[in-house]
Amino acid sequence: MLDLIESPYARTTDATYSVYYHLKAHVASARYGGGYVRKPGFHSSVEDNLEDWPDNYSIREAINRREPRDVGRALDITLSDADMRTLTRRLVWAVETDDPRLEGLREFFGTLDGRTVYGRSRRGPDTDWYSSTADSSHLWHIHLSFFTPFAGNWAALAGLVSILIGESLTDYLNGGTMERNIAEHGDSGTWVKFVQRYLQDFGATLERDGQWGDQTTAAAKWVFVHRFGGDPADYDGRSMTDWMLREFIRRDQDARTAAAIKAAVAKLPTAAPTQAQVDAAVATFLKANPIKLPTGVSVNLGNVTGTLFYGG
Amino acid sequence: MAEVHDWHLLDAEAGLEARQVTAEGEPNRWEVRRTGGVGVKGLDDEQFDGLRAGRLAFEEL
Repeated sequence: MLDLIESPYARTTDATYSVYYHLKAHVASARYGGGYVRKPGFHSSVEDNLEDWPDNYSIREAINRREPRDVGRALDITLSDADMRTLTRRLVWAVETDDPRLEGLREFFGTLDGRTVYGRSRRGPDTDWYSSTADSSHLWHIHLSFFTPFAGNWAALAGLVSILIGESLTDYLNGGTMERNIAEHGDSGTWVKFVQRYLQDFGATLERDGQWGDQTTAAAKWVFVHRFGGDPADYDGRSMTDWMLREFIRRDQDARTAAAIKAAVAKLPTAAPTQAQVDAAVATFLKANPIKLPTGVSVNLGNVTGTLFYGG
Repeated sequence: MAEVHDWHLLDAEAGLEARQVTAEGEPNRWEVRRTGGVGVKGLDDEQFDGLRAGRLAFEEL
């Protein structure tokens, strides 16, 4: 995982500042546009909002009144026009593909065309995204708000950096230097839901509720034995490592590729073309691409041996 | 009449703030100033993008 960098800004967590710091290393136009700022909303702390703006949306959901309550929960990153479009597109793609690296993200604003502010928000890590918008300053800076408990959670926010710099999920999972648990029995949230989707895709019967209980354990073990050909004694189904998740993704991609090839092959004609069909195709081609024969040019073939056919 | 937005931090490390001041039906205009309110400069879209992309420095504008 990327290093956690000490924040030089008061009440901006190290994790929040590290998002900017590591993005800057990949995106030259990135400028620090603000973390903690005392104004209504996620840029200020839970305590600030409770004290001065108790009706503000940033403290409405229970998750956003949890600890840490004395830090900002948002980050603004100023970018060039081109980078605004690129990074906003990456966030949109992550939302559309249900990318679990978005785990801690509450909302974002940016632009896809440089003219219109584009935003997506959600009320909890496992609730649906909805469209939202904000003022025109988001044409030149990307705004990221975090669910309060994630404002200081570098493990979660590092995943966001990975999305912003354009890494695929597989690249992100490959970035670890040691095997680690992605999710395990007792966990809940985005990563569990993501794993459950693959378990369902591989044929296991379970509800995709984002809770890793006995049902998910049984499903994981079933996939390990019946789809991966594993020995039941080797895996208790109570956790999912990054290695296993990569294997899920690889097999899923292989299956999708195989299905696409099968569909393409099914569309091919079953019988070989007749001579008449070939002749017609050649005639059509020659009509569209007439061959110009040279005139008044002699060709010296030298000594030629063989049989000359007249094709008619 | 220009639609004037609030000042917003553009670059904390360089100490710059920006806001949009585009008049209705006109090309975009922006204002950039030092944090604290001094040295306001008016910019068009190209200059504003150049500033953010690092092609132009605030002092050059």
